Amino acid sequence: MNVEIQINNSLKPAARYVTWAWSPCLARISNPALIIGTQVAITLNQAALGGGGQIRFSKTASGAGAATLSLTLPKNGASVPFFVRGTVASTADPGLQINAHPASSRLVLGSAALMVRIRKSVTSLTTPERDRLIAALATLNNQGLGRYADFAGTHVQAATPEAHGRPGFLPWHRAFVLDLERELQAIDSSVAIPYWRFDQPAAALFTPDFLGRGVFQGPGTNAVVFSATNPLRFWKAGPTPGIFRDPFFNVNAASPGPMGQAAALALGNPGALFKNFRRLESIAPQDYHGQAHVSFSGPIDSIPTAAQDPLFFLLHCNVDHAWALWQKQNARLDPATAASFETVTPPNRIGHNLGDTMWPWNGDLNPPRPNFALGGTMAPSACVGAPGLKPKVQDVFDYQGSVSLVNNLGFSYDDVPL
Amino acid sequence: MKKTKTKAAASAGRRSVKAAPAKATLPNLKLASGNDGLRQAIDILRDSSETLERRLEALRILQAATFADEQFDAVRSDFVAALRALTEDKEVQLRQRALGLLARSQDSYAEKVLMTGLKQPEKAVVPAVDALHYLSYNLHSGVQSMARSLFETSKDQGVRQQALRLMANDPQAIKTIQKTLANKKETVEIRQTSAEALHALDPTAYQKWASKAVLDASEDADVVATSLTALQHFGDAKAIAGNSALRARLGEMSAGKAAPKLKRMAKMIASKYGL
Amino acid sequence: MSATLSRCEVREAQFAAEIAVLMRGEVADAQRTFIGLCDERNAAYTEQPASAVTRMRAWVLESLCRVAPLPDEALPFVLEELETAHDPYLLAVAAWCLRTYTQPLPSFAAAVSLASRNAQAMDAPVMLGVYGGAGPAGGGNSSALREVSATVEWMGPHAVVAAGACCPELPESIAALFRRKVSTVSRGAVDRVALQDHRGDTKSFRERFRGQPTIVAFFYSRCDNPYKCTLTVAKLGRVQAILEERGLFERIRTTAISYDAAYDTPERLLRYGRNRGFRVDSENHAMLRAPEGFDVLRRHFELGVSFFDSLVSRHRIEVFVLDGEGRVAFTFQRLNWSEQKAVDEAEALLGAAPKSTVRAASAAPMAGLAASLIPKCPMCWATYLSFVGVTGTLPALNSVALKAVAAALLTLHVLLALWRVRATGWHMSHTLSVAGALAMAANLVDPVPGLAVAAVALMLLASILTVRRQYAR
Repeated sequence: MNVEIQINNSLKPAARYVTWAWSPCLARISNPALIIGTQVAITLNQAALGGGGQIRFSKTASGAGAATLSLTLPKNGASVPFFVRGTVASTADPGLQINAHPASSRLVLGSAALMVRIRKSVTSLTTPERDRLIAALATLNNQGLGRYADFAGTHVQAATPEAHGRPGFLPWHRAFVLDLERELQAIDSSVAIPYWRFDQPAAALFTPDFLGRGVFQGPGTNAVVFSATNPLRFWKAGPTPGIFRDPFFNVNAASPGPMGQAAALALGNPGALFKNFRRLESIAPQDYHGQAHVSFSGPIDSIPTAAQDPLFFLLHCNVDHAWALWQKQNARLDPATAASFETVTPPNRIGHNLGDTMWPWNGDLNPPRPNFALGGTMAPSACVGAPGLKPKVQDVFDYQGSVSLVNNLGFSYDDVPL
Repeated sequence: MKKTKTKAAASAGRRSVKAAPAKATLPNLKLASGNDGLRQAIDILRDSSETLERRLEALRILQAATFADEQFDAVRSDFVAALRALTEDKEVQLRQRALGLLARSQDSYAEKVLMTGLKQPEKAVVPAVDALHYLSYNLHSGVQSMARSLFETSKDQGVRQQALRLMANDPQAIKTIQKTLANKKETVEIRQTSAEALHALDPTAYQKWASKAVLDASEDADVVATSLTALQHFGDAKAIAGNSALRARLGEMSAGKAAPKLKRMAKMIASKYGL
Repeated sequence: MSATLSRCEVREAQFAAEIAVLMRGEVADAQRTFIGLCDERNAAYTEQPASAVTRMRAWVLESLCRVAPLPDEALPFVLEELETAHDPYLLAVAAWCLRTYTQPLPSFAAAVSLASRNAQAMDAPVMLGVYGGAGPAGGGNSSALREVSATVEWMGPHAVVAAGACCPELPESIAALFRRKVSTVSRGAVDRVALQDHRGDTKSFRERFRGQPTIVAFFYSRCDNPYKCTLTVAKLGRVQAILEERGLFERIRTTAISYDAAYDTPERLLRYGRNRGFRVDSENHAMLRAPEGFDVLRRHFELGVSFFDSLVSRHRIEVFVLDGEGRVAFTFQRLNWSEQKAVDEAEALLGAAPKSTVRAASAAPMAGLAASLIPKCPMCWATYLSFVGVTGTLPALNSVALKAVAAALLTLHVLLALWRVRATGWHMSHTLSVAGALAMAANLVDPVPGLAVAAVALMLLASILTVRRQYAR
């Protein structure tokens, strides 16, 4: 007798990744030999595989879940649904495996390896996690010939109104970071984009083995130094090879600007309103996001060139992380809740209303959209169906499927629970 | 002020600040809200009687506000005018930052200032290495032929390195890059930058060269490591698998006849390509 | 190094001085000279960097409109800059210049609307009335946004472009200035230009463009103007979608050719096209470069492009519709072009040219088949005569008459085959066909055992190959 286990309702290797969100899974008898009767009782539990991580099981996508789960599987091979969610992040792939046992023995009838893939702070990445990230980034860039060029070419001046200065700033950048993350995962499924808490020291990030070491208060013309073994030394996303980025702050000790995360999260007040919270974008003294960009001299300090530096995505992952925290703290995950977004009459510019599709994934080149759209539609995920190939603004709010499981975007932050 | 500037003064920017403060303390400019505040910031930025710290903070606030798009439109032209004026400021740090920002938006006025400085060093407002870099944001500024020339004539390794990066876009420079990469009399930094430039311009040519470099017992360890990095991450699996000499050398390295760093990389390459 | 750059600078200064002379009215018909200088192919721009070309062109436009109101002949250049200028000074000048036109036309709305969008992102001080567009310390007396806003105001009610609605078209007298109808038969050098595609495969111009209409656009991947090359290739991708909708995807080709063959390697061509939605999954749709012979292409298409140090310094938007003979049948230049219109033009060619092409293409193999059926040996004669005898329907014929008919058919066959060579290039089928015909002719004069059979086999094989190629296409 054998039991087949599907993670995210799929047998594809790329689907075997879970987050804090409930992932739909299936178990079925794949080989009914030796089964007496029409059904069999099994127990699902988890076993370590070296990459770490822990999960919980449940028959429904709710509650805290349990360390094991008992299921009754029909002999005829019909699938029985169940759910798993991560509770401790893995550091390597695979992290652990789900085993199916007979209810009364430890005999393994079937198993499925998986990883609890979570976005973490850059300061908590292990060395292998860091190396996998930079290897995937380097491959995606491929000396300027790879898909990364589309990301650098999308976040440019001509596209500014699609993504900045308006309510769509946070949703658009969430989609942008997610698109890149999925491209990286197509290269190495174990990679999740880490976030750079730019209000805290992150010495490990600005080293020759990670995103490169710059010159303190240099003129922005120094290519950051990479070790000989760091593939990012071949980076080319702008006109010349190399990454140029000189910090104005001491990356070993100081935070770059006056606003911390707590102050940023309080921006929504009074009323925990999105229209207040989104002020974190760029206007002093609330410029939580803007100050991070301009705490360096180099391409990252200007919209037309910012995404040439891979740090852009770690920085924006943290802006998204702040939004995720704010959403959780204030129950603003449902776009149907008025305070979750800024819906106005007459409507915002196109691309900044809940029902609008977002450029460039929609491929819309009609004015006032930009006249180019690089890279095609949103990269699909083997784990989840959302936000679709042409996401709307409203499709990226409920990123862990808390309101509805189908909204799950397939990522979680280490310190933002479900 | 411009007339009194010397090449040495322009160069000062390279070594402007060495030590990092323990924690950045930014001055409070007490600006009004909205566009009025941004206009106040522009005034502070332009005012040479203000302290450098306050002017830098004004610049920081204005830069961050550029991310606000249409909210910034009302003052965008004034901000650009202020940055252009800063290209002649007494403070090298302000000159550098203004030119960097203008260059990143391909401002033709800034490009002319930079090009003039490269052609007439006595008029340079920033060091040549900075000017070359800033001009690189617009390859159509005419900087490429300047880069080829400066690479051959300059004694400044920083200038030559930046020139090499510009040459990574220039098919006419491929032979010079290859020659430099192969020249063991050049510094390791220059050769590594040549490797990066060749890799960007002609990845296949660099892969061939990197394979040869790994076989060269007299080659510098860092140059070998750079070559191994390229082979590991961007290598052509078929070419690597078909190169018996390379396979043998990687085998030797893996077996312990190399520095730990090289040994580890050789193992990873062998594992990746199934050698 | 400074020699080259100094020469550029000197030339730029000389250029400004020459414009000053024109402005003072010391040269007859200054306006005509200014209009000539609007063309990017003008020798003044040769080996000048893009930044200098931008300054020079802006100064030409400003001077032109200061001498007299904007003439119709210069409208294409002004509207082009409103739509595609990537420099605040040039955009400001174009906006200012348009306001010197006799009156605002509704058909200017599209260009002014695009200028309005573009100006916001690139606003900067501009000094009108000064060469280079910058005053002391880079200051100005205006800005790109201010000039465009003033032009929007000047347009009055005509400035409004309804969302999703197409803009009024330019009056025909002006629209005609944007296009050229060229019917030069492509011969000689251009036919031999080798064009390498995104896969690395090389074919001649003749092989690439004969047989079917083609929509051709020019671009280069190092172009950093977001309103030009990246848009052109993306629009070519939309042309493909229209072709697909109309069931013409395999009947009309699309091709983008790089100005920058040295940099645009097959790998770069592939990536650039693919990332802009240009499909390369068919032999009929390709990204191309001409590693050698670009100058021949440049002359053939009369390309509006100038270079500095191997890098493009200025180019206009240019899209061509080629007929099945590779001749330029229609052009779009400078302004944003309509994908629908390009497909319409190509489809119209499909209605005319291909029919004759197919007829001509079929004639040679048919003649071959006919020739192969002429009796060439005693056994054949016996068989035919037996057939005639059996049926009793054939009038009396003698072998001399039939030989004459056979000789005429063979001659016709060879001539048709050679005529096809002109159109399609030399193929194996032509070799076999001509060899078969010659062998047959020899056999008619002096029969050799087996020769007739071999000749028939060769001609039959050639006919089959030709028909196969024709249908495959």
